[in-house]
Formats: sequence, C-alpha cells, structure tokens
Amino acid sequence: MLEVLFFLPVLGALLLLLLPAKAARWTAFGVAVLTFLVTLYVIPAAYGHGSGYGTLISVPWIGAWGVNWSLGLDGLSLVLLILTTVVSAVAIAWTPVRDRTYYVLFLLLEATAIGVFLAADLFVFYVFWEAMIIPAYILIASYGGPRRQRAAIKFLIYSLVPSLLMLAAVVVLGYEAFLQLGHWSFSITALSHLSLPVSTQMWLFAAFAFAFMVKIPTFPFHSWMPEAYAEAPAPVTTMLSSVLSKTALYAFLRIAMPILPTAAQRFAPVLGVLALISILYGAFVALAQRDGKLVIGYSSLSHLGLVLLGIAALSYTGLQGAVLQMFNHGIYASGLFLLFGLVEERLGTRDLEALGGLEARGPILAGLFLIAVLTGLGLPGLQGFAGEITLLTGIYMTHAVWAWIAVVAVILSAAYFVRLFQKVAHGTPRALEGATGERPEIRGGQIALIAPLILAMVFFGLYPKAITKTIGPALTHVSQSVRATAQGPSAVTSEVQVK
Amino acid sequence: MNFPVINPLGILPEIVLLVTSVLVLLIALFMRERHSPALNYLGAIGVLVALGTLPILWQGPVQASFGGAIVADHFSIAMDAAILISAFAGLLLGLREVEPGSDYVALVLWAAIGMIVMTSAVELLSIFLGLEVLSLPLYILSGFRRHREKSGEAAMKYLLIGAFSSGIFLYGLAFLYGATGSVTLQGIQTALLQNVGTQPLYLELGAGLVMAGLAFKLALVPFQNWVPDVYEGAPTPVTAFMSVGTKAAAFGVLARLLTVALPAALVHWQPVLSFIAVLTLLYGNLAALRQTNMKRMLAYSGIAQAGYLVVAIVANSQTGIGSGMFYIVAYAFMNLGAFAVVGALSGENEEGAELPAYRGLFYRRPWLASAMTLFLLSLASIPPLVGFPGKFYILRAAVASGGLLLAIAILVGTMISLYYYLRPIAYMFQHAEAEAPVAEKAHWAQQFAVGAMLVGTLVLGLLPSLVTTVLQHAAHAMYGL
Repeated sequence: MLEVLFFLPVLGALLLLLLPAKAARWTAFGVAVLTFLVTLYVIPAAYGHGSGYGTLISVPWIGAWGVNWSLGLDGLSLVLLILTTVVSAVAIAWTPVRDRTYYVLFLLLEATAIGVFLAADLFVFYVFWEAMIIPAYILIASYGGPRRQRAAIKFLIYSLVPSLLMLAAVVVLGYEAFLQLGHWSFSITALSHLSLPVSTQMWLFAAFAFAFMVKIPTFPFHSWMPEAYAEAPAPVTTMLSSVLSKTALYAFLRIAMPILPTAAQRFAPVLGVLALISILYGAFVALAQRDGKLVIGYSSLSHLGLVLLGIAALSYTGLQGAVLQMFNHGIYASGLFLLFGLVEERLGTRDLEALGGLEARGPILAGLFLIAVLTGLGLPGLQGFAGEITLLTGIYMTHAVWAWIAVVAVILSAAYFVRLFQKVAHGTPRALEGATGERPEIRGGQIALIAPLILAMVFFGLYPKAITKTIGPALTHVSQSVRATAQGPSAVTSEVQVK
Repeated sequence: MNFPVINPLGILPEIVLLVTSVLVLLIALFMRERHSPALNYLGAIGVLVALGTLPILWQGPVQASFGGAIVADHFSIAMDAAILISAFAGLLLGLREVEPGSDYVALVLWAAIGMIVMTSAVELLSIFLGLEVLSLPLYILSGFRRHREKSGEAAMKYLLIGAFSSGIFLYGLAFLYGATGSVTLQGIQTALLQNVGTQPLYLELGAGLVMAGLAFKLALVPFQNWVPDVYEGAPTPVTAFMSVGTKAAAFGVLARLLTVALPAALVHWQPVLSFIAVLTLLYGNLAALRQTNMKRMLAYSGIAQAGYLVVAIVANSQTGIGSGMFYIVAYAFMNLGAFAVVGALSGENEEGAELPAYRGLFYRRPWLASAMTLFLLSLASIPPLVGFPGKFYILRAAVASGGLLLAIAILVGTMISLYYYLRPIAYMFQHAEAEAPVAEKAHWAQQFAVGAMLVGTLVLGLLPSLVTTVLQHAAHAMYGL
C-alpha cells in the first residue's frame, strides 16, 4: 500500500492533464483527500515488532548500483505523512486558480514530499528531496507575487547547491558500504550499521546538516526564506513552511543521526547555538515586521529553531517534543498562512499598518484567525503549548542554559502574535474593501476546508499523547543510536496532561 | 595485391547508411523539385534501419572486418546507438531549419558513417580514416546556411582547426608506429608490455599528439577555442548532431586507445588527463556563465560535459567506461532535446536563440517551455531526469577509483552550472513586457524530436537500469579484447 501513497497524487496529476481546466480544482482536492484516506488506511502498517519499520517494501531499482526502491513506514514517518496529506488537501483547494498546471504541480509537490517521508533508501530519499524542488520552484515562479522571479531563483539556488554536497556524501556512504559489506548499498538501515571513522563522519554530517538547515531554514542559511514566503501564493507558502521544512527536520532524525551518530553528538553544540540564534533572531524580526505574512514566516523561523534545538539537545524528551512540535507547527502554521492569505486576498494588502478592523466586518474569519494565533503563541489547551513545553523540558534536561534562553523567545512569540492579531482585527478599518470591494469574510466552503485544521489544533492540544505514543518506538531507536538518555515514552506526556 | 577479407556483418550499420545515402542522391536526380522533405524522411528511415541492425549484431558473436581492423563489439554497438540517435535527430530537425535536400541528408549520413567507423576501429589508420570521414562532411554542414555570414565563418574556422588537428593526430600516429612497430591497438599493448623495441620518447610524443588530436574533437581544454563560434554559427540541427555524435565518436576512440593500447602507460596519462578533465569542466562551466545566446551557452556546457566524460575515462575501470557511455546516452537525449527546442524557437535569422526571446515562453508555448525546462534541469543533473543518474554513475566510478577530488571537481562544476541552466528557466516564467519575436509554429518533426528526447530523458531518468546493464556488458567487452 505504501507505494499507492506516492503514486496516487502522481496519477492524479496526470489525470488532471486530461480533464477540462474547470474541473481541476475539485479533482485535485478529491485526489488529495483520497491520499489522506489511504494514509489513514495504512496506520496499522506503521506498527511492527521492535523498533524497525512497521512495513518495508523493497524492490531492486538500479540493481547494478545497489539501489533499491524501498519505502518504509513507522510511527515517525506516519505522523508526518498525516500532516502532509491533511495540509496538502486543505491548501490545494484553498484558492481557485484558473490554470490546471497549478494543480498538477501542487499534486507533484505533495507526491514528492510523501516520497521523502517514505524513503528507506538514501538514493530514493535524494531523488525525492531534489525532485521536490522542481514543482515548488515553478509554483513560486509562475503563480507568485510581483517579485516572484527573484524569490524563486533564490529558492532554487539555495536548495540545489547544498544538495550537491549532500550528493557527494550519499555516494561516499554507498562506497563505504561497498568497502565494508562487499556491495554498494544505500539502505538507511544498512548504512546505520556501518562503522565509520569519526573524521569521515564529521564531514559527511556537515554535508547533510548544511542541506537540511538550508531547507528548514535555520540562521544563517535562511535568507531565501523571507522572499520565497512573501512572494509565493498563500497555499504554496503553506506547503513550504508546513511540509517542506519538516522534510529537513525529519531527515535529521531519519538519516543524519542514525547513520552518523558520533558526528551528531559532536555537532550538537553547533546546531544548538545556530538554533538559538534562529529562535531569537526570528522572534525579534517578527516583532518588527510590517508585512503580516512575514510575521508568520519569521515566527516559523523561530519556532522551527526551537524544534532543532530539541533535536540538538539529544535527549529522548527533546526528540519527542521536536516531533510533536513539527506536527503541531505544520497544522497551526498552515492555518495562519491560509487565513492570513484570505485576509490579504480580500483586503488587497499585507501591510499591518494598513490592515485593521477585521473583527467588525469579518467576524468568523477573525475568530478562526484568533484560534490559529492563540495556538501559535502556545496557549495551554491548544496544540502549540504541548509541543513547546515538552521541547523546553527536554532541552532543560541536558542544556539548562539553552532552555532559559529559549524561554525568552516563547515570551516574545506571544508578543508578536498578539500584535499581529491586533493589527489585523482591531482598530479602524483602513483598507477594507481595498482591492476587490468584497466583504472580508470567509465563505462556507473555506470554513469547511479549514475546519479540520482548527479541530486538530484543539484535539492535539488536549490529547498530544496521540502523537507521542505513535512516535515512541521510532524515537527510542533514534535516541539510542546517538546514545542519548532514554527517558521512556511516557515520562513527559503525563506532565503535559496535568493542565 | 591482396585485399583483406571484408566481413559485411562487421560493418552492417555503415553499409545501411551508405546505401541510403546513395539512394538519396540518386532519387534526387530524378525529382522535379530539388528540395523535398521526402529525402529527409528517407534518410531518417535509413538511420532507423541501421539502428535496427544493432540488436542483431549485439546478439551474435563479435564481427571483425577488414582483417580485424574494424570490430563490431558490444562497446562500439552501444556507442553507435547514441550516434545514430543524434543523426536521426539531425535529419528530422533539418526539415525546417535548413533547406531540405539530398546534399544535407547525404552529408549527415556520411558523417555518421565516419563516427561509427571511429568507434569500431581498433587500428590507428582506420581510426584516422573514420576521423576524416566524420570531419569532411561536418565542415560543409557547418557552413550550410550559405547566406549567413556567421555560418561561413563557422565553417572556415572548423575547417582550419579541424585540418590542423587531423594533422596532429596523424603525426602522433606515425610516432606511435615508430615507437612500437604496430598500428593495431592490441599490437601496441603487446609491444609495451613486452617492452620490445619501444622508444619511450617517441611513444610519449606519439601518444601525446594522438590525444591532442582527439582533444580537439572532444573540445577539451586547451583545444576548445573553436567550439563556441562553430556551434553558434552552424545551423542548429547540425550543431545538435555534431555536439553529440562527435563527442560519442571521440570518447569511443579515446577510451579504446587508453584502455586497450596504453594501459601500460597508465601512470603517464592518468594524471595528465585528470588535470585536463578538471580544467575542462571548470572552464566550460565558468565560460558558460556569461553567455546570452542559447547555442553558445550549450556549446560551453558541452565543453563542461566533455570534462565529465574524461573523468569517466580517468577512473580507468569498467565502471568508469560504463558510466561514460551512459553519460553519452544521457547527453544525447537531453542535449538533442535542448537543441531541438532552440531550433523550434529560432527562425531564419536565429534571433530566437538569444536569451531574451525566452522571456514569458511558458505563457506563449507551455509545452515547449515545459520540455525545455526539463531538458535544462536534466543537464543540471536534477533527479528524476536522465542527467542525474548519469552524473551519479560517473561520481560513483570516480569515488570507487579513489578519485574523490575529481568527484568534488564535478560537483563544483555542477554547482556553477546551475546558474546558467536555471537562468533560461527563470526567463521562461517571466511575463514578457514587450512582445517577443514570435516564431512560427514548430514543424511536426521538431515536435516529434522534442517529444522523443523528452521520453528518453524521463524514462532513463526513472529507470536507468534499462541500459546500465547493457552498457556494463559493453564496457566489459572492451576490457575483454
């Protein structure tokens, strides 16, 4: 069934080419929903015996090179697949675009992201990782704002150059497998059993980490982000921030840490410091932004910095919080980007100084936006809080100082999100009916579309255990491989449930 | 006088092409119109028939002809496939680009014969013969657009430099013979291994000059200066055919020469060629950065690709040769595809080959622009397109032979190349402010060529194992000689 998850959106994209352009939007939505349903169907397959993949399919692809088409599913990939398929389904139908190419590319973007989360072979991973960039680039370049060309090409260069370094690392790992096992292999499981000298591990890890940190993004590799996020259409920004950034964080857990554990330990302080800088830098820039979309963009920089910090803390709880927050951020960032995208579409501006008074003219939209904002700033009872508190606990356990600094950013996060909401919702309406003359209110169809995300914000805020339980075995595996202090899967969730 | 026994099976593709070319010329005599597309079709059919003979030859035993001077082994058969594909594309693209006529078709076919002779020759004089049969038609073809000044300039440059390089090649050949007393590759190898009658100075001089002659054809630094002008000036279909076919033929000869004749001198040529490979791929990629004409850009990119090919040879292993062959096939699809699009867009004056003409192409010609995007991404070796497994294969060979630095050089070159491959793509997605020159609708043959190359680029990108196994066999054949 796993390959269906990938091939369904691909076939859907081909199907769109045959259908009339009018039917594109809802056909694409149908395909995306179907993909989500298949994800639900494969949930049982994620649980196997022990810590390995629950399901693993492997077929020779390029036999002579030791490359297998192998896809694996465990709790970790399952959580991110659910995130991907939900967010894709909501985002793809969010705004009507008259061009069917848009929907074709969107489905291909979803398919390649799914491929990244499923890949159990490093070569397969690399192919999806790179292939993901092409639809994302074209989506930004041809459907974005006025300065989309520059933004798109910057995104492309920033994505491709580090990937080539990663390619060198992939080839070298395959060769190391050849030296040690007698045949070329790119199986992630096989590679994690190699014994590599520390010096080799160090530069391989550097190559991987560079590629991943650009994609998240993390300071100082984030400079593609503001332009790409600002220029891309809201649903595409959603995909970039909610799904594509997660592929990179996921790759740390799936590839870099299990295969290169010693290097991961040695590099952890570097990652930690860069993550801390991202957290603070993102928070301060978000505080000073006039562009509402970029407030959300920089908040992502800050929040994903916290996730990376949790990974760098190398404690089990830190990893647990990281994955929890990856999922949570994916949901609430989608809500924020999509709803704010609607505000922009109806009022014709993103400038916070020109916006205002949404509460009076579009109360439902304002209300939904408020829920997303509150989730983002980490209000207890909503999704963001559970992840944040687990992360901070996990970080505190190994690096108390990091945790203290990170707490500052959590406070700042409340400040810039409240400011964002105030500027949009309160005050006198300055830009109402600016561009379209339409009432700035969300329509019935879009309420139905966004409803699953809003429900998820509440549900997983009250019951984060649904996630932590799922990812438990896979994370134990990761944390054992870096010899982190394993705390057992239930230590923190009980703490969260106190509230 | 005794003539050697000619085994027609050993030169089957050559015979098919020759017969076709004669037919084309004869039929043209009886046709009322001098310029008819029917001749191109006939030529293309001939090429397809020649392609059809390859699987038959592949399955049978190795056929040697002309007393063993020309051998149709797996290596040459595989290279011939790439050559014939490029000849096929050259003929189809020539339908609109140049005035269709018997002369064009016959010249393309003859050049293809020369290329095939080069890849299958295992004796120095036959290699030279192939080189000349390849070169002479291409000199004429480069200047085929008689009314264009640049075309004439291209032909003149190519003729002068080509003749010069042939001379150098021949000179080196004489020295090699003098040093080893043999003109067959096998004989040279034996002489070197037994150290019988070898003169080290003559040997080095001879090998160096022969390699320099090949380096001209392969466009390796420092013998690459002619390439941009010739590629730009020649009609686009000729450039497409020349860029792939000549590279395949020269790669074939260089690989055979080094692995069959000169393995004993490995310590001498490996460092030199490594150095040249790095220089070539860096030069090609850096110089391409400044180009605003697509044909010139593809010419410099071709120089860089030649650098990658030499890395494959330097790896000096079956994997290396296999990876080089795969790269030739990959290059054939993506490069012919890119040239086909350039040809379809540029009109009579070739103003369409300039970069600004690509502005907003995606909105005017979505299919053509999408295809071009994929070709360029493939050249930049982005998966899942054929350029990626091609690059990966060479990297794999380089790393496995201990050439980690060469692998890094390839990656650096690829990083640089991203800029110039991606820039036209960015142009294509811009909305055109001013009305760009609109080319007439592409000829069906051009569309067909673009489509066929796109299928190759995608299918081999997704399933490279369709040919890797075959090519590995072919590489093995050369070592088994």
